Amino acid sequence: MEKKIDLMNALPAQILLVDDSPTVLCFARLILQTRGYSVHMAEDGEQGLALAKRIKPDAIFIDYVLPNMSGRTFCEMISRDSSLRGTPLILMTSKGDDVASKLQGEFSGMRYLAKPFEPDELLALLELVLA
Amino acid sequence: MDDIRENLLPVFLQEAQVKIPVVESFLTARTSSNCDGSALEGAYRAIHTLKGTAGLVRAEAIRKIALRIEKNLERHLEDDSSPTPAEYDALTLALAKISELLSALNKSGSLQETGTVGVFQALDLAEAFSGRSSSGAARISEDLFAEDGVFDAADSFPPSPAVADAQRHEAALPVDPFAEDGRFGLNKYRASASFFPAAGGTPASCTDPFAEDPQIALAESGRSGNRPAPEVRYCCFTLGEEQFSLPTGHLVEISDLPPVVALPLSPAYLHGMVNLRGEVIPVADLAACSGEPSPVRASRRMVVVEVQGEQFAFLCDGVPELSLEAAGTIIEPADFVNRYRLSET
Repeated sequence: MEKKIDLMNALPAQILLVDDSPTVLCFARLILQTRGYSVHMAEDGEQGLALAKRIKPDAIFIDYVLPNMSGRTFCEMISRDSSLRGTPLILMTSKGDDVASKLQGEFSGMRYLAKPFEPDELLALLELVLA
Repeated sequence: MDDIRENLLPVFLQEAQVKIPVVESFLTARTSSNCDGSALEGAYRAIHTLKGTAGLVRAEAIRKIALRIEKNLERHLEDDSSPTPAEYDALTLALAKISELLSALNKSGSLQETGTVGVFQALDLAEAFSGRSSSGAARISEDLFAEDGVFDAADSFPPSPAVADAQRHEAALPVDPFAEDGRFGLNKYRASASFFPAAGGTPASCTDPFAEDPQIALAESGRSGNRPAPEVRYCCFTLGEEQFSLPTGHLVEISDLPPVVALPLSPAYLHGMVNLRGEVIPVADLAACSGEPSPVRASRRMVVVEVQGEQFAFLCDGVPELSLEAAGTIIEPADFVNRYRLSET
């Protein structure tokens, strides 16, 4: 199994997945774990934010439609938090390019992964933001 | 990576078991006003998630139906409105189809896209009744329907309290929107709005051309005399001032014209959609192809044809004749479909 190592810390890169769907979380987790990433999961924005503050992830995959806190609000909270600002954000949504473009305009550097996605697409985007 | 998807299927099915009741609960409640927006939003979120996850496990039929439900609920969320009774019925039908597909997926591990066309047609019709197009771009007033003479604008209003109460107590999930057992809500409108023929009545008041037509009587007498029956080659009919002939090879039946539902923004040659014993088929107005739509007559019928497995009908006045000779313009149904792309309506 190929291991993706964060050379800065000599630890596997920490990836946070925030999505209310167990299917999406399971799918993304299985894909990432095959490449040796350390995966953390949250089912809503509040849980995701608390987890992010604790683990300081190297990248965050965030769903757009979430209970309790929308994907946009989550991203705002991340960008306001000095310890999390700059964390690469990857928006996962099936809402379409228009919604993604709008959010990408609000959060610079945000990447977009259209649902449903293929394993290769997810890994390619992640490698891009971690490079 | 294929083993990932195999591991994913049980997770998806389990999640679907949680999401479906959320949508079902909203549809069963049938709120006529959007006073409980959270129920609508919950249903929207649930179907949105189901759509996305169905895509991940490549359950395309489920994903497509969920997408249609999602789009409908999303529009109501944006408009701060609630589905109309017809929309509730069509949405309930669509959700029942998803449940059926999930069950099949659970049993066999694979899906076939069968029986989904009726779901989309029911949603199209329901959204057309409410003045919504499936694209969400067009808003049509009920006047369009009123002009056709088959739509009672009063039926587009919210149901009376008694009707609404009865609807709230109707919990059974429908299987077929136009099923004759009357479980599907659209049947309820038959009595009041006459969108579709009365349930349990003579199916579409179908006329048997072979019982009445003198040409067939001739053929019958030929058979009885052990002579070869003359080959009926055309179905001839008039529409307005014009006469048309259809080769009988494609002929399915001649029927009284059921109540017609006009489709907003449809081309002039598409007279509307009819429910022919549970099958929703388009009716073409040939007069509109060459000029003005034909004037409305009392004795309207339709000639149903089938091309490449798809049925559609031509509007006609009076009783068509089955004939050995063509009269007027000969219509080749296959060419008509190719030219006017009826199969895509």
